[in-house]
Amino acid sequence: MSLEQKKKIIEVKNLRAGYGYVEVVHDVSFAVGEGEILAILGSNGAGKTSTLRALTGEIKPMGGEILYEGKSIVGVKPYKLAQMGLSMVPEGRHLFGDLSVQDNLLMGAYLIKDQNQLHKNLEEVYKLFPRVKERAKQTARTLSGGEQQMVAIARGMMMNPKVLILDEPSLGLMPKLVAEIFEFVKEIARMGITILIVEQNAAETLKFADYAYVIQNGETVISGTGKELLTNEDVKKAYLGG
Amino acid sequence: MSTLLQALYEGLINGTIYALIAMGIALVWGVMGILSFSQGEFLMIAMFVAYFFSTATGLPPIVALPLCMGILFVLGLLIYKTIIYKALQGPTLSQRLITFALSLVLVNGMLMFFGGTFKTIQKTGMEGSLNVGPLVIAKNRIIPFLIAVCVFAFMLWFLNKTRQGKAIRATSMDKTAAEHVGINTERSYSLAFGLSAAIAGAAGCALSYYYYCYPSVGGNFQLFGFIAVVMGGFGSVEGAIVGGLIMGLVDSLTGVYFNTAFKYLGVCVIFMLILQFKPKGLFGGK
Repeated sequence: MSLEQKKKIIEVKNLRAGYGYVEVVHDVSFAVGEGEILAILGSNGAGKTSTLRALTGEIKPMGGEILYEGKSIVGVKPYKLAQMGLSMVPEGRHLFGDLSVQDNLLMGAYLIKDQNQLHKNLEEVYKLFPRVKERAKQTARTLSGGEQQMVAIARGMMMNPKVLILDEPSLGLMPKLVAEIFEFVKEIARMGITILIVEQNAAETLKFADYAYVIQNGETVISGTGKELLTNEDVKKAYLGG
Repeated sequence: MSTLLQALYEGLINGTIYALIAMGIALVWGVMGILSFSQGEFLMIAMFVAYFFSTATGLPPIVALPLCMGILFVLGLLIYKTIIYKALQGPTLSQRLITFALSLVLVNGMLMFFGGTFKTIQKTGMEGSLNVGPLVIAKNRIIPFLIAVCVFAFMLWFLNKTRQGKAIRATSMDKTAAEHVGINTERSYSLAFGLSAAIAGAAGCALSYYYYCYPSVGGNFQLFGFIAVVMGGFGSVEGAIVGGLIMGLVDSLTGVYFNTAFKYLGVCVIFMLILQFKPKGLFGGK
């Protein structure tokens, strides 16, 4: 299970990023191995989302390197990253609220021009998320928070991504739904898709993450396999409630 | 009865021009949050294009339609890339006012180059009128009406059925989400602005059949177009079309049953009444 054996698909080295003149991310480094579930953990305001935003081209890094498949993707726009196989499921879900669930999914397949491929993807996503299929005709904004999160992930899957990036998928959901969402994440990982997940819910995330990094005050402070971190005293104290 | 029918008919025809202007405003607002005060001026420029084309060649203005739309589309793209793009990075107030400044520049620029005299196209090939039942149909309104209907149909098809149209709609619904599914939202912006100018271009070509062309001709149409957009629910293209048609009807009905001088009064009263009962406009949703 060691990281070194796997080809690294994303590498972030000494990243610095922020907004205006305010630096929020001071020194973040991590690497995502192909096909693994990598978790980035940390409390609110630690710099997790800013790290992701720098990665997905939404904010400009102030320093450091971001490599995707060995090439720098600093300054590459989000839509280009999507074309390169990076699918981002943003915090707050960002569904197309006035569209039906199915139209949301079809919009997720914007980059797929082949109609047959598109229908195949839709079938696969529906197989993976039966709950989403049940809601296919419903307007997205009328769904519950958990269902919306499922649709957001399902939409992210429609483009056949190499890497699925999830920003706080458990945010605002009750524990039962969180468990359900994480089940889907595991299922997607089994399909061979690399997963980068950013979470505050360390206890649940560490149970299925292959490897995890903890960000504190804009710096990566601890890293290890999911199991290692679950038993790590510092992590236990700070994030797992003793 | 025939007076009413006649008024409804003329209102509908006039309404199509308001609807075209409103459509462009709704599109630009929906996609990029810019209030386009220069729609009326785009219409005016297209009227000049149609006028000069027709006067120089002796051909009817409809022949100049592709030219009007093409020139305005390119002008719209240029304005987007130079002025709007920069304004979008600035504070909200400049975003709101930039097209207002643009409209003043266009009106006065045209005044400087072409003077303020009223210009009409002498030979449109559609002089006279037809009697259809109780209606007297002025022939010069037929082509403008057809142009408008074709533009509505084309735009609704484009926005709902084509890939690029869907990209524009997605961008207007949620820019972040659109980027993440792989849509170049920058392209959606410039295309939406170019298209809205081209729609006003079509309106200008249509209007040149029966209206004088002069630099400040766009003002009224701009105002009515704006009210139509608010009435239809800000940002909804379909709503803008309906709003525009209502504006035309109210405009002509007040003219027939009260006095043409009261048309602004009529339009604004109806506008306020609709907002009383549907504060987000007729198609504004929740």
